[in-house]
Amino acid sequence: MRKIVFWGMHLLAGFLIFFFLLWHIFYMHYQSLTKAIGFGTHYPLIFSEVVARAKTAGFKIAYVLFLIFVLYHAFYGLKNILIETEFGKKFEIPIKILIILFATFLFIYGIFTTLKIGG
Amino acid sequence: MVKNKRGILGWIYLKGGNFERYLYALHRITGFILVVYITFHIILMGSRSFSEDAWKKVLGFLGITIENGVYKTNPLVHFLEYLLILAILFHAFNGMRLIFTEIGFLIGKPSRPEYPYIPKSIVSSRPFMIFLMIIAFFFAIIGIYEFFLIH
Amino acid sequence: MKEIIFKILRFDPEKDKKPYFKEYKINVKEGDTVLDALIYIKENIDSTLSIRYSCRMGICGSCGMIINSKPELACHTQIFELKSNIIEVRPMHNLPIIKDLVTNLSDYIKKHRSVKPYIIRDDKEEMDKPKREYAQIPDELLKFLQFSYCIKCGLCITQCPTCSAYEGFLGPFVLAQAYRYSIDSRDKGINERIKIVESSLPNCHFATACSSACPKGVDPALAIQLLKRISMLNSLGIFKKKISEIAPEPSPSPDKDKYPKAPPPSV
Repeated sequence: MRKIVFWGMHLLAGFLIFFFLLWHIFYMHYQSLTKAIGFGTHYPLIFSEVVARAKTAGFKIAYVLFLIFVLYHAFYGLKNILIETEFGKKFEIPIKILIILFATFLFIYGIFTTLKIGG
Repeated sequence: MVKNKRGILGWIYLKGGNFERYLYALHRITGFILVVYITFHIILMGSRSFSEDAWKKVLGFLGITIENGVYKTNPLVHFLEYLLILAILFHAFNGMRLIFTEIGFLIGKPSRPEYPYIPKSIVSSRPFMIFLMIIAFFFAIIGIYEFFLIH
Repeated sequence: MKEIIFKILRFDPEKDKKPYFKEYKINVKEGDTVLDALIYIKENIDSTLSIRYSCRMGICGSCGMIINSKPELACHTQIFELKSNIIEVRPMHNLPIIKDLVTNLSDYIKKHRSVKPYIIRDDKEEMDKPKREYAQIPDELLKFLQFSYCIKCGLCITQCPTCSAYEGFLGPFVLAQAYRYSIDSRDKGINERIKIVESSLPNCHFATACSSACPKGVDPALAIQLLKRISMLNSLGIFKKKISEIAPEPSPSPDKDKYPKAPPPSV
């Protein structure tokens, strides 16, 4: 695929994360606001709630999509930052390989988490 | 010949620069912080798939304890969490501006340059930036209420 | 008349290991530019000072330098407008110093050449021996006219944060020129050009430092973002551009015989 398309996917992932992340932050941290609007819970970190949430299909799909978008956006951005240094210019290919391996590890770990707890 | 390059310091060299330059530097710094954070976040939050004890251990490590439905948090961790929220808000809302401008929207059209040359790409994208920054600021204020006045 | 202290960054590759500042005190009058002062210093105080200039009126793009931390053309900056008694002059950042205020732009000139900044057409014969001009309407001209005012002074490179550490980046004015020729309705070389520039495009992060530094109002940031758009559309196969054809032969005037004949060419 053309290089510019990967960059376009970086932007697209960023655009989608914007909405996922606002929802995530609101759900996890802005409890009184979400409670006032009528969704969410006061104690999102209690284990029983975490497990109950992870078993619903909507959350499962959302978590997997969120994971994919975030990992792609974050590590493409990290690649851009590292490549733009003088050090990065010399080791361009090793940096790219390491970043892809690390992102893949996190992706597998995240999928494993979602599937195992979700049943 | 002397190389005369600013190197990485050029990313945050702001003397004589325009306002977007500050946003660029902040976007880069917050972006880097968020990549580091997301790595730890995914690994630590994955503990929920092992057992309830592992989950509680991680929360305890982060300074969060839950007893009878009451949150108790380490004030330092809580403050850092709020700073993280600020970083996310900035990165998200500034990123929204960049997504639109980098594919050629909201930056005006090429025209005949007339003295004094005021760059159209800067002037045209500023109202949108101010609009987004106001929303981000609004969420940051709600964050103060949620983070420090309730818990 | 007013006495002004000039702090100039000096560097002689044969003598010095590191650049250093040297001070000169001179009297200037209203209307004098920084370049006038530098020429005065070279002629009357210190003949070893090296500067590069040609036109003295903001057209050639040779005298770009950092004046009081701001990237400016020296011929374009009046001393009294700076409203300061101490003026610090140093060569452009991110470009190697040859001597004193003279920087080496050849790296970026090579990059400029690599993006094929000329009209590319399939019909080779027409390119070598053109019959007539390609027809173009004013709207099509306006799409690239602004970017064709670029004088390649290098001030955008000086300010660009990506250029400060990354040598593989083509640089603002090079990418702006790539856009200027790609959007030109007479040009058919967009595919060739985008193959060369696309690896550099993700490294522009719209800090708009280049546009704010440009002394000619070229707005390279605008050109690069538009180039990103057309190369994205092009790689998805949905970019469309009207291609100009050769202008139709002008119809002969009905009363051609009434006009007197042109005199024979003298040269």
